[in-house]
Amino acid sequence: MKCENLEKIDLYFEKKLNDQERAFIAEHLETCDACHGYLNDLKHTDRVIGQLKSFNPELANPLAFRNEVLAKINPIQESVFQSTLDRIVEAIISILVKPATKYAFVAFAAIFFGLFVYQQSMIFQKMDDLEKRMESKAENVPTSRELSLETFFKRKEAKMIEEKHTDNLLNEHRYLQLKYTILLKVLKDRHPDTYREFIQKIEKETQLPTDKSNDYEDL
Amino acid sequence: MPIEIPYDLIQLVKAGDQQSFGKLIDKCSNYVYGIALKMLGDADDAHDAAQESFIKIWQKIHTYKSHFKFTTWLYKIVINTCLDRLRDRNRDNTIFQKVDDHTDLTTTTEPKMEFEEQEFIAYIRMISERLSPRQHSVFVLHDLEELGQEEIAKILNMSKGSVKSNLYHARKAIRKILISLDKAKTNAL
Repeated sequence: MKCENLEKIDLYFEKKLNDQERAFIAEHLETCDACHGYLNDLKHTDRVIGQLKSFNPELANPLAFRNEVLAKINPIQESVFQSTLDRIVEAIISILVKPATKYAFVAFAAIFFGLFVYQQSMIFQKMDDLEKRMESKAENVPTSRELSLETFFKRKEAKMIEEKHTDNLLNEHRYLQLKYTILLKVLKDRHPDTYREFIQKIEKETQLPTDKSNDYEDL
Repeated sequence: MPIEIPYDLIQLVKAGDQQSFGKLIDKCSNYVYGIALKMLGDADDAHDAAQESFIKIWQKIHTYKSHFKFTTWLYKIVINTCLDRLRDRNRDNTIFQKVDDHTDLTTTTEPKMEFEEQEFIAYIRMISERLSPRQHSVFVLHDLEELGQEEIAKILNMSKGSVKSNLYHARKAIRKILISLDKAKTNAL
């Protein structure tokens, strides 16, 4: 049968009991074989551990040991670049392997991917808008022919003005004639319907009475 | 047995000075070998584990932070190297075969005042077989290396409570080993 004081033997052995308890256990040990045997086991264990502790193992040949280690680290030192790379990779892996950083990395990657997709969609949106704007603008943009006529007109006008100043009134008539010719040409190109109406109206208004000679003849 | 490593020497090793590393090996080789032997209970294995530990020290010295005690960092490397070997050994299941090669403790009488190496190895080997790697590490660090519970907790990455509990179970197991050894001796006589 297990003695109820057996648990106190550890404390007795470790000298953790007060004087009264200690005196009680000391007296108890004289009569209890189980506790006495247990105390002997504790002493024996402590003695063996003490002997293990006092033993200091030594290498047979420390110098050879040192040289062997140094010989093994030499090739490592030669590939410093490789070992540095390994260390970087190792550090990254060790960070990623930790649960907290792993989840943080996944969250960061998800946010980054989301932003990337959003940015791409915005670019496509902008490109669409630009295309639409260009299409709508193209309707009001002058054609290349119109542009060339305008340029032609401006150049001619500038030349005419210059000529007008030099030849003064002598050329005024020629200038006006040419200016109106160009204006008509521009009108014809840009607004053909208006041009046609305009020409018809002018022709109608400036038309001379027909068969006037006959009238005379009638006279 | 605590050792003192000069701060300047560690800084030189950190800077990659191989000659200083040689000096560091000279200062700590017996110390590291001693821990490895207490952990593994095999002279050849301890020799190899000590060399492996020094190679790790050289490779990882840049991770050592000066505000930590160098010996705590050193213990961590050596203990982890030995634990890896113990795990490999258990996996290979060659342990029982090897134990027979060592001194038969049942034929010895009461332990002498000083152990012979073979006797020491036989005891350690027997203890390491019966204890879990954690219990064995705590026992070696606390009872043989005389480190404090707080430092052991840092080395083994466990709480102080876990150190206490592992130590209690380790001592209990060792006591049982010694009792069974005594019984075997009595039967042998």
